[in-house]
This record gives sequence, structure tokens and C-alpha cells, in this order.
Amino acid sequence: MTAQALWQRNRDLADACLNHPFVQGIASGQLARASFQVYVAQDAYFLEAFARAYGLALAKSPDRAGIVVFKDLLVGVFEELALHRSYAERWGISLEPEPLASTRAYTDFLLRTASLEPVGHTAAAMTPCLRLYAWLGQQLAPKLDPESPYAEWVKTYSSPDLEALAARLEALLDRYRGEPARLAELYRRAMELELAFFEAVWESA
Amino acid sequence: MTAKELIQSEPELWHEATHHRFLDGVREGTLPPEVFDRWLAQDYLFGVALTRAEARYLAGAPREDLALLASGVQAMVAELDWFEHKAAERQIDLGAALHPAARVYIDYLYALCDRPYSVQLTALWALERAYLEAWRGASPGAQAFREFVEHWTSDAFAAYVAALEAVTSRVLGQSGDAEHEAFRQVARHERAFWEMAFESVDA
Repeated sequence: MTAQALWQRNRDLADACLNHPFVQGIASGQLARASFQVYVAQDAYFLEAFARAYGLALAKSPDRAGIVVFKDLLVGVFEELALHRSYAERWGISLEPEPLASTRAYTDFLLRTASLEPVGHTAAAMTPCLRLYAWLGQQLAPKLDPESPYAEWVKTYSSPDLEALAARLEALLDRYRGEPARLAELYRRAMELELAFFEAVWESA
Repeated sequence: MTAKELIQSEPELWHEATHHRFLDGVREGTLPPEVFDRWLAQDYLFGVALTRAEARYLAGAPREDLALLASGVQAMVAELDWFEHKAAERQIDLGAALHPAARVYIDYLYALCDRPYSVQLTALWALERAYLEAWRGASPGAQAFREFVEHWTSDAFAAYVAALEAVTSRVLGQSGDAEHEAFRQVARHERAFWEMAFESVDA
């Protein structure tokens, strides 16, 4: 099953994320500041786990293509964290939060997969995050209220750079592949965890 | 114990790891180009493995060190690009078989993946520091090798080694037997890696 097919199969969850009041509130600017603060802090915790998982995946990459893509993803984490730090400074957010249960569920899922499974399976667990955020950014960009305090979020995730990075990770998934049923399971699980992440942040604020 | 004290505790091993007739030949211009090229191909293969090992050490690193190790991985990938470029210029085959000295060194780095972070970082710092010091000793280098010597003694690389050294001193703390052993292992592998350049792969 290709990355494209996996994405299509999980469009129900992608739509649920897009229509989630948290995500819609980012585009409209109506999202409560408290919700966004929780999100930024939780996402910083999440990104740290992603950096570690990219390291594990790079170490398992059988070729230069994998090494280069996982390196770029790894470097990208620190660019994203810089964006989070700018929010944190502006709005007084601690970037060392206690993780919510849903955040921990996602990071543990990711690190377990990256530690124990082949690199293709790891790519299947990682791709949903990149693909979903690129897609959400692109969907929200036309509807963005330029006055939204969260405009930068939409601009970051609708950028061609993120789309290109997501496409490169998808190409790796198609290159390394793995056991088809497992790939589908890991991809689906990551998508569920994405939705649960938005839901938990929304509810906790 | 600090990183610097580790070096001071093993003066002979460290000297052997960072001084070699290979480096003298680079400085004086007496090193046969084919010996340099053979070494370069092995150093490239070692670099690919080091990139993977460093990414693996990063996975278990404390939060405060993640950015430093990510910058190291990023620099290593750029370094591999540079090697490929230079190899093409010099018509070196980077698909060369791994020399036994390179193979055991690489296996050592991978074997450290399941050791404590303090041991991993001591080894990583020691090997980068040895490389920097060795090439500084070959500076400025004969014309034929000058660009290599300049590249491997750059300010950016020195700053990275200094940052690794600070982390190593921090993680060494009170303990240190396993870390000391890692330091000795790296020094011995470094020595053998220089020596290798004068042997052919099937020797």
C-alpha cells in the first residue's frame, strides 16, 4: 500500500481533524489563548520525542536517501521548536510541561515503533503527522483571517517547504515499505493519535 | 574528572592517536596521493557510520544536548556531500571494501549504542577531538592537501568539538571507569585508522 493510498484511507480522520473546533479556531483566530498555550507546550514535548525517533530512524536507514531525509526532518524539529519558543516568550508559556495522557500515548507509540520496528514501519508511523499538518495548513490558508493571532501557525504549515518535506517522507515510506497490514495499522494509529491530541488540548484548556 | 584530564591521563595513547607519519606526510607534501586517497575512501565509509551512530546517541540524550547532537548530524551529512564531491574530483571509488581497521572502529561505535550516554559522548568527543588535533598538527599542509587540512581545522568544527568537550566534562562527573575505557578504545582505533592508510584492504 502506497503512502498516497494510506492517506486516502484515513481521510475520515483527516476531515475530523480539520473540522475540529481547535483547528477551526486557529484559522478564524477565535481559539481561546489558553487552548493555544496548552497546545504549544504539549507540542514542544511531542517534538522532542519526534527528534529522538528521527534519530533512531536515521540510524536504521539503509541508504543515503534515508539519512538525508531523516536529517532534514530532525533539523526541522529545531526550527519548529524555535517557533514555539517565540510563542512561549510572547505569551509566557512553559515549554517543559507535564505531558497529557494523549501526548504521552503518541510519543510512546512513536518511540516504541522507531526502537523496535523496521525503518519502513517507522516511516508509516511518522508520515501522518507531516502529511496531516501540511494538509491542514493548505486547507486553512485560504480561510485564514490575517488578523488571527495564530496566523503564523497557518503560514508555517501551509508552506511549500513543509509540503516538500512531507512528500519526501512519503517517498521513503514507498521505498522502504514493510508488512502491508502493519503499515496500515501504524498509519491509522498515528492518525487517531493526532485527532486525540487536538481533542485533549481542546478539553484541557 | 574533566575531558581535559582524560587526555592528560593518557599522554602516550593520545599522542599516538594524533601524530602519525601520515599526517607528517600531509604537512611536508611527501605523502603519496594514492595513500591519501585510500585513506579518504575509508574515512568516508567511517563518516557514514558515525552519522548513524551519532543519530542513535541523540535518541537517548538529555533534552539540553539534543540541539548540539542534531547540529552534529547535520554537519556530518554536509561532510559526506563534501567527501563525495572531493572523491569525484580525485576519481576515488567510495564503494571500496571496508578495511578491517575501519570495520572494527565502526562496530565499536555501534556497540556503544546500548551503553550509557556518558560513555557514548566521551567516545564521540574523543574521536572528534583527536581528528581536530591531528589535522591541526598537519597544518597548514602541503599545497596538494591544504584544502583538506583547512577544512578539518575550521573554526566551526573547533567550536563543535569545544561544545562536545563541555558536555563530556559534565557527564563524566564522579564516575568514569567505563568512560575512561571508551577514551582509550577510541585513541587506539584512531591510531590504527592512520596506520591503515599504508596497508591495502586485502593486506
